[in-house]
Amino acid sequence: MGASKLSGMQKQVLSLYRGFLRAARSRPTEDRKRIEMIVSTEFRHNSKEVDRKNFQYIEYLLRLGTKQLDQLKSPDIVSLSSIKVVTSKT
Amino acid sequence: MAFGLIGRVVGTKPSRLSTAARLIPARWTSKGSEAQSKASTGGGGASLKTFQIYRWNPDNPGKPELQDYKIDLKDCGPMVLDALIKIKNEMDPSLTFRRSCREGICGSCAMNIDGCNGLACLTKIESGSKETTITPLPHMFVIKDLVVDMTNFYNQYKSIEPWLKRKNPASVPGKEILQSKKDRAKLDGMYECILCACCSTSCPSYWWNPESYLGPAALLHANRWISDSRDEYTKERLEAIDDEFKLYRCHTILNCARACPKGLNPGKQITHIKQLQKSG
Repeated sequence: MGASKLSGMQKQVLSLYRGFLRAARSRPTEDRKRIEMIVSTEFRHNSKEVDRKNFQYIEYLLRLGTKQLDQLKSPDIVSLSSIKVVTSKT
Repeated sequence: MAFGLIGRVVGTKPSRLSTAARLIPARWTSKGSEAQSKASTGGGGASLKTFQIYRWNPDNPGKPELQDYKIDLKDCGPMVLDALIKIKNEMDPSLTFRRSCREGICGSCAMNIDGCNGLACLTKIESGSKETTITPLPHMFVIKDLVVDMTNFYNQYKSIEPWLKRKNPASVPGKEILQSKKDRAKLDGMYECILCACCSTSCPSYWWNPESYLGPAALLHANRWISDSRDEYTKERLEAIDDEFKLYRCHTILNCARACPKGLNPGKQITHIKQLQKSG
């Protein structure tokens, strides 16, 4: 990983991750752990699976994440949960 | 005399319906002839048209592509939306697009057809063998295939506060605020906007500054509320958009008037706002 100079897109991904962790901090402990678990697994999975040069997909994921973060920040939202879907490619 | 004719019609109908009614009608419609010609060579009596449709799937992300679909125009409705629905029903169920009213009033099916923005339900399929290219609205983030992210567009519409604002209560409390016919006529050409985003996404100025320039649709609605005689916040509304970027990115390119599927002229309304700004 290029630790010397991060590209603009990498900075955006990191700030989104930080945003999620900050939003998790304002929640009760159990919810906080669940949110952190979901968010970190998602980011780690995508960092391995997604090609670094696939800008369109990364931007798509960033936009999706920003929307989800805005929803999470709203006080009406109670919790965050995720379901694992296995797609069988026939 | 009339009874006699009706009697004859009634007499013939039951025989048609009784004997395997589901088989016989197929022969009498064009579908029958189309099925026969499809079986033979596929080009015979059917008039095939190729549609090149933009495809991009976020679940299998790669490069977006134009995929070809051949449709027999004899077996399809006249509008592009009919072709898209036919493709989705019969050929490729994974084709994703927005649609709702199929009559040009909801604005969901806005897309770029052969280079021009328009509603798929109102755009006729051009007869002839030339390929029709269907792509999503230009310079918008794509969510999947022909579906684009409209949140920025809607937020801009929200930012101009598209509701009636008054400082003084109504002259007759609890009753409607009256408006003369002449004042109501001032709103014609603006209230019909269905927020399809065809105009904003056809404006090159909006392409280069989508976050700062409000775009023709939002400005049309801003003018709608500025021109409304019942609204008392005209000065504040004008001041809110009196911005280098929000309003003055418009250089009267007038692509918006060309693209509008409802025949409105957002450019004219923007000019009206600019004139009010100059005089106010």
